[in-house]
Amino acid sequence: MTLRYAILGLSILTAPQVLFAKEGPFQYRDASLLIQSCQEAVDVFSSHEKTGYLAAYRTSLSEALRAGYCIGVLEQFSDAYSEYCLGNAGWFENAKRIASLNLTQQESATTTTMDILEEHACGY
Amino acid sequence: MDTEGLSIPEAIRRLFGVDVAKESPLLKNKAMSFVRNKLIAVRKEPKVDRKAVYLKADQGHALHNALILNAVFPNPKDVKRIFEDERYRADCAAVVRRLLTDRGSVLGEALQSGSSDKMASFLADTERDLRQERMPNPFQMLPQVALGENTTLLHALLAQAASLEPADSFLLAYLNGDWEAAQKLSSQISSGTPELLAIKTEIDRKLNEAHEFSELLNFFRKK
Repeated sequence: MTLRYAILGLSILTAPQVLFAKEGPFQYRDASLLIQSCQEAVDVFSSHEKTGYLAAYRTSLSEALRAGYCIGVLEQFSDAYSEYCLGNAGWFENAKRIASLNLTQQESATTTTMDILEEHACGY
Repeated sequence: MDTEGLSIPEAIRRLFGVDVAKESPLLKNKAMSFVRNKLIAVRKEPKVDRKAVYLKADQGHALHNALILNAVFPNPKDVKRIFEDERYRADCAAVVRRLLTDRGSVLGEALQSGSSDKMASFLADTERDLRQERMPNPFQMLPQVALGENTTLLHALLAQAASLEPADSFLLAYLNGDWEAAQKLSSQISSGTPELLAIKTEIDRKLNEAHEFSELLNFFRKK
């Protein structure tokens, strides 16, 4: 049951993006968007740890939006794939792992968001 | 504007739109002292009860400038000297600049119109004839009219400087990112000009937003 839903969900997620490769946001192979977003998320939260509510002073609207994108993707992924991942470190730990990635131009053109998630947000 | 043959109250009405009889006998008295010290030339006509006084030709600009200068320099003697003594005039230009433009008040500088500066420049440039040309008027309302007998502009400015201080520092604290201090100082402000209250409202809004953001971040981390 869960597997079917997962596969269905994944195909819904990816199918249209294959058709419109590199024409808009949230591309199938746009791993760098996720990485950049998770970097922002880590930045926003570490700034919050250091400066409390002044984090708002140091965070721009687009940084906050990117951070929200990262959190949403990670949360939804770990929820949908919890049965296939070993344990769950929580989105922040996963975001830190993803934020530390450094893809070459070649790699980011060929790596999918799903590749990143499977490798870095799925139990370790 | 030709003011020849006008009475003093009539001329003031033409120059500043002020009805001295109703709004400011003080302004009329000030103008009359310029007549007495011969800065402003008049001709006198005997009438039934009292002598009537009418401006001679080409006195309009001088009267206009004298009353504006009088807003800063309350003594008519000093105003007359500005007309006659170039060095003194330059000194007074420096005073005006210090008083009205280099106020060091953030709000003052942010909100004031450029005409104080233009007036100071006009005064500093002795090529410009105080009798032939009207100086820029930096006052929306002449201080003599607004403040009345007991207060000079200098007093008013000092009082304003003292009372502006907290407002300045709340704006400064905010701009420097010291939101804690900004919030504390802002909470002490309960009345003020619409401009000041608009700034206060904007800062309060930003601070609320920051607290909301902070709570959301806490919520997202709490798993």
